[in-house]
Amino acid sequence: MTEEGFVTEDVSSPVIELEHVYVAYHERLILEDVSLQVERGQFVGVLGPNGSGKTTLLRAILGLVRPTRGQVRVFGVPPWELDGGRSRIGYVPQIADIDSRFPIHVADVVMMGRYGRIGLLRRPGLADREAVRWALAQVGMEALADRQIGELSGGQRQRVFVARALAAKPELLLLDEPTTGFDVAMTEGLYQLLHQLHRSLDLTLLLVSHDVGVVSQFVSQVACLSGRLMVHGRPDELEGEGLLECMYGPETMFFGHGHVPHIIVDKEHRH
Amino acid sequence: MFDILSYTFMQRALASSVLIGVVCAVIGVYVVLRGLSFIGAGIAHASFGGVALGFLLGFNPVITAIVFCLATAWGIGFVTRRGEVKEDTAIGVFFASTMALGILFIGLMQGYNVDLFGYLFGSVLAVTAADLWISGALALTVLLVVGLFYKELLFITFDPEMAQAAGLPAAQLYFLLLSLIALTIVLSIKVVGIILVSALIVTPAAAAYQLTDDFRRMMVLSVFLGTGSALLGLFLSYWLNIASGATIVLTATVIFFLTALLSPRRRRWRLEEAELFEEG
Repeated sequence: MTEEGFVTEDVSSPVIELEHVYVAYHERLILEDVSLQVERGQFVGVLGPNGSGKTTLLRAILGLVRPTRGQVRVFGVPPWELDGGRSRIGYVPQIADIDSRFPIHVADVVMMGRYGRIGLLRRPGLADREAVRWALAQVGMEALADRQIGELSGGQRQRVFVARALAAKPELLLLDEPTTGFDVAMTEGLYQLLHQLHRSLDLTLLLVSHDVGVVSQFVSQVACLSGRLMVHGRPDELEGEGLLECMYGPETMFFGHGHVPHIIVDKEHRH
Repeated sequence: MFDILSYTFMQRALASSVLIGVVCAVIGVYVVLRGLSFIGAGIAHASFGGVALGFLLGFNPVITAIVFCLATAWGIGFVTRRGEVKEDTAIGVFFASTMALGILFIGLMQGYNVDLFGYLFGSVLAVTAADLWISGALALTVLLVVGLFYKELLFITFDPEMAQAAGLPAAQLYFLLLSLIALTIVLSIKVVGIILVSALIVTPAAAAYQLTDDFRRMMVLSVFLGTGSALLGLFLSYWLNIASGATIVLTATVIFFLTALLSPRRRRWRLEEAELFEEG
């Protein structure tokens, strides 16, 4: 590995630590008493229905929102005090508010992942271009480096955003609903890629999703969020009722049908 | 045909047109790509209040216009970032009120001020040596700042949320961009006029956008088309004896429609849409 590889000084402290975290926005409580611990090398899936505060949880871990109460620590310190900027955390936002006609090529987008490391008033150098090539290779997109982003399919574009997050060589990767708008094959493909990156790069991963089925197949830990964090454990411990109840509320009925659980949600209780 | 270049006023007019063509085109790239056209129009109208105050107090109107434009840009930015008011609402409130202030200042002045209305519609042939120096200094400042923060401005234009997540001072950079737009407007109003300046910012960049899918190339093309429109417009206005600002803007508009017709991007999108339609 290069000198900017995946090394942490303090291996003992958890990568992410949330203690009784409350986040309010415009006087509305979005996270309520959320506690979560993610250890080095774990692959955690946070599940929760829409509006359960999943994105806010990620933004709190990134230090973009400060908790109104409670403690957030990443690598043992509050995220806004992390040295080296935030380049130790890679972030893939939910299909972002991005103009697909923006005149920019894939390699330039991935290079943006390096900007935090390069710093103000400096230009990308050889090491940065090398890192961009490396990151594109990790997601299997080297061949498309010179394409304009609008020419990519949704799945390819998401891989580019993963590469952008990897370009800074982070130790922790956060993903927000990475498969929004994907079909089954694309979803499988992306999770396969994340699984592979998790193993080959010794990354700690945390992703939020409402996709119970796929997520529990690939992650090592599942947490369930609906305003407050309710359950947290290995996927096999949480299968079945607990997980579905978290996702759809206590009024959920479900029945087996082949391998696919079908879910009936009592609509009146959802809203 | 080139004997008109021997007049001092024409040399100044040429120099200031080139300056404005370049700076508006550079800033226009960010304005077009980030969707800030309406903010540009709002800040431009705010300069009216500043110019009027300058005339009322006997200051150089450019100085008071800088204050007004920066204050309006920051005001819009501040109100919008707090998320309590939508951007277009904030612009609507700010630009109407600064225009109203301008009208109030005119009312306080004795008599009718011809120079003030020159600022509204632009009069390139009235550019003084002092105006040229001030414009030159402002242009240099804007271009220097864009050069220094080139990659950061690109990042916040493309994806502000990620820029913030990557640890860039996204809020400060956004205000920096708004300030650059404000300064660009101030240095252009004497020539193009308060009413038309936002068109000169948007149009060359929009034309360049039709022709390329590379950011750097878009910037270069925009400068080329912006300067071309400014020069061509200036000569046309001289020969046809019509207002310089309007001629420059209309020249840029013609160029925009030509590029839209020739655009390789448009052809490609049409092709993609056709494919999608067949798949769907």
